[in-house]
Amino acid sequence: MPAQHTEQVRGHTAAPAPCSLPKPRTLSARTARAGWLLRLAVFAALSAIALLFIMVVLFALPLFTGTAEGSSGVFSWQWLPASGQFGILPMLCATLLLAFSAMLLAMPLAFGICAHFYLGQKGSQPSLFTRLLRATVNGMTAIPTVVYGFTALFLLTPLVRAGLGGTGLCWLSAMLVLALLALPTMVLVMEASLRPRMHALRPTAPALGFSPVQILLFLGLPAAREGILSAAVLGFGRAAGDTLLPLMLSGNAPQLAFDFSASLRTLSAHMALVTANEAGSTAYNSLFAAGALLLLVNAGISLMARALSQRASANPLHAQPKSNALPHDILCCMGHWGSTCLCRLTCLLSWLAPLVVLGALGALLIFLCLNSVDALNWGLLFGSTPPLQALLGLRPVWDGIWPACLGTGCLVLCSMALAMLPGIGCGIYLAEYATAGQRRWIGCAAEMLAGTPSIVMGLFGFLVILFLRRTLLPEANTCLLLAAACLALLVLPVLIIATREALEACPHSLRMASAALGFSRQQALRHVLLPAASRGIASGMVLAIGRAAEDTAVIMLTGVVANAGLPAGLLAKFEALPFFIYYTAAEYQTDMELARGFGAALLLLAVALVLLLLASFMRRRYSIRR
Amino acid sequence: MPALLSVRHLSISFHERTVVKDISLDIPKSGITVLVGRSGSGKTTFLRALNRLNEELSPCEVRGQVLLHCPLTHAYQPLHGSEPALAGKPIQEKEPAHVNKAEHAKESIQADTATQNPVDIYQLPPSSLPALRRTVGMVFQNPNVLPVSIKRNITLPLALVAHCPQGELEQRLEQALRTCALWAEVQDRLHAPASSLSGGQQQRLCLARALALQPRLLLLDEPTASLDVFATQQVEELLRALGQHVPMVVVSHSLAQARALADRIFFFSEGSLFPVEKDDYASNAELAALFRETEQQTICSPQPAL
Repeated sequence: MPAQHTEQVRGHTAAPAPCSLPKPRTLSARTARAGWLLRLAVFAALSAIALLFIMVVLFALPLFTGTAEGSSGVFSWQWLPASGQFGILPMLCATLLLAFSAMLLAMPLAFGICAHFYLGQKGSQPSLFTRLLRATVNGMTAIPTVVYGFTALFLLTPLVRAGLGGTGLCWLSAMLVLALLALPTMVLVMEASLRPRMHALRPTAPALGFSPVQILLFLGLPAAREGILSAAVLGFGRAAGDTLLPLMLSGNAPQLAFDFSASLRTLSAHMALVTANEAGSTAYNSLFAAGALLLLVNAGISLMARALSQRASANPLHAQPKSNALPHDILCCMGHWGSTCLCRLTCLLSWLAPLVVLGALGALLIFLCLNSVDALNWGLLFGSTPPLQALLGLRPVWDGIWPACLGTGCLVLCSMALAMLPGIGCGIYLAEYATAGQRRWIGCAAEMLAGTPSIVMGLFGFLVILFLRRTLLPEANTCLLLAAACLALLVLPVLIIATREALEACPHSLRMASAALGFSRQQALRHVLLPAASRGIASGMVLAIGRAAEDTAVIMLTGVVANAGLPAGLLAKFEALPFFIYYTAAEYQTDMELARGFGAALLLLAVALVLLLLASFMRRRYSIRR
Repeated sequence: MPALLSVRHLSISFHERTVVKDISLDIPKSGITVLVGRSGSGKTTFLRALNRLNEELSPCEVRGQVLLHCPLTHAYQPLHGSEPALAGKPIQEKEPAHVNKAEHAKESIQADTATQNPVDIYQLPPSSLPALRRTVGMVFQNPNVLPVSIKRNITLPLALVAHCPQGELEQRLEQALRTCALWAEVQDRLHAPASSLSGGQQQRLCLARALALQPRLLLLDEPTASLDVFATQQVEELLRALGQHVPMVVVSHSLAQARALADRIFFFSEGSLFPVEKDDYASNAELAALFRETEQQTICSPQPAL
């Protein structure tokens, strides 16, 4: 730059010579303090999470350190409560074995479905089949586990019984359905990681003459390896954390299983069984240990998935696969023949996997519909009571599911009332006020909570009652309020993450415009950003409602009963729809009762799917407007 | 001419990269100041530094001073005291003759500075930032209307930031829209979403929104960059009319626009600033190149040379 211009500027402005240059100030807008309500919300959410971990660890710690009475027996291989042996190691093995096998089965299916999204389409428009597959995978995330369990119990186990002999309640049945349960999570995670990488390869790789399957296998897959791995990890976590499917389908014999027809009992199923059957006995020790182990396994999985996703986001899209990357090495030594085989195999899988999954799901759904067709009338809801009188509460309903529906409604209402402020407040805080450090550890806490199995939330409620009985309130008992609080904890991460994402998705120009107009941070949030993000937040709330309505494991430990009539109050026992389905599967007497169970399952499924559709509709409208 | 805003040795860096280097500049009490330069030369960052918007973007490091020679918090002026110009027909109640405007301004600034010490805006606590941004308004490159109705776009900041009484909102709304020649086009659909307006209309709405807050200085960041030829012409005419009442700093990458609007032109290059005489483009090779480019654009495209 010419010197005279600089001189001119100096002369022009006639600035007083600064005696010394002041130190640079670092300025950032993230210094604003949140209002008291927000801070209260964050405090409530964090203390609830902390309390959960503290309670579980507090009750289990004496067992691990060996100071508790009879603790030596907990980590042994025998479960014989009658003779005082309370070993839970078989259950730990069964959990790991079952989850791992289900994950191994789901992995190729998930990969096949992902491959179908890229290989199955002709031309630029996805075919009808591809769209159906995508919608099905999205819909599968909402199917309640108790519906899977109930339907598979009456469709799959007779088939397994015919094939393998025995009762049909075994490793194989549980594994098959668990694989189906974990599949949508795995597909979505895998697809989210593959999509941007495949997109980045789009113009170059085909121009070099690669076929679509070669691009997917040799370029897309190595680049997305973190995503594939975290799909596997999350699928494992989903399978290990589930309670209802092992409880209903695996036979629950506390033993080591060595073949697929053997019965096994997982930690989660064990917890449900112990709380149901052995009230107040020394078997509770094993309950605490099982809860702590399950929490440990899933916390580890959450941390692993988090580390993987951070590594993936640190990777630029065009990163070279490292020289020690496994797929690369295999390809190098495979040669032409091997790679051709692999391509053929992938093509085959990309059709086989969708067909298998759609077939299995279709069979379950058709079976469910066929069996519930007889029960679909007003009698399903109200039994022999006239509907109007039952609705008005004039006459009790004895043989209908109306009290259970109402119980679930109350439960969802209470849990949403409890979770709303902490969840949304915490999400707002994370998106708008948190420093980088706070973001990291509050986000980590939310993810850990999201990965915690629901039975552990139930255990938390159970422990709170035990604690209260031993200290302040000897009369305390499980009730609707307790179940709602535990469910609130379960849906808290859904709300936090949805709110945070909706706010972070607000276009940056909106923040700049608000700041330039002189809005304070609170004003911008209240009048501009929150209205803009409201649809995203609302869709998160709808998802949370669906999650709270379908969960069974939490309420099993916190006060649901089979016969309580209409919900009588916050401190009373209650009925709930998912538990009614589970209970019918175990205890039905007549065909009519069984048909009512199918009807209830269909109803729950319909509610869950409608809520999912509503949420996705809201999200789509929201993203269009953006 | 007395200064409204004095910039002293201002440097700004993001993540160790210095974007604005040691700039000193005075912005006078009236007229339009245009900053031209290639994209990436730091002019937008400099503009945002004048109302501390950079820190909303990402953490930044600032050296130097920006002195504001007018009171930061000003009471809302009564409705009929200083009505801004209606489009095309400026009302000049406060400044009756154009010729002695400068002197008039000088008197008022002397009166002002007698009572008011200049404020370094970088010493302000975060709680004063809303007041600063109301005093120094801004219009962006892309019309960023708020996702509410046309009416709320203007009344929301009026009510929240300027604490305008509810009863006056309607009048202020009409006044602001008339000022920006938008009233006739939108008076029937004030409750329609602002995003349903065309690009040019949206940009004029943003201008009206900023003016409604009665800023002492208006910053415009390439206000016509995202508009077509016709809308550009409309906005430029509007700016020229308004510039006689509200001092403005306009960032532009078009020398043609700069010549059409400016009372003063400054040229930005790699974070530094050079004053430009209105018809002198040969003194700097880069400036001459930029000038040739825009001249060619003007010839090739049907953009009117104003």
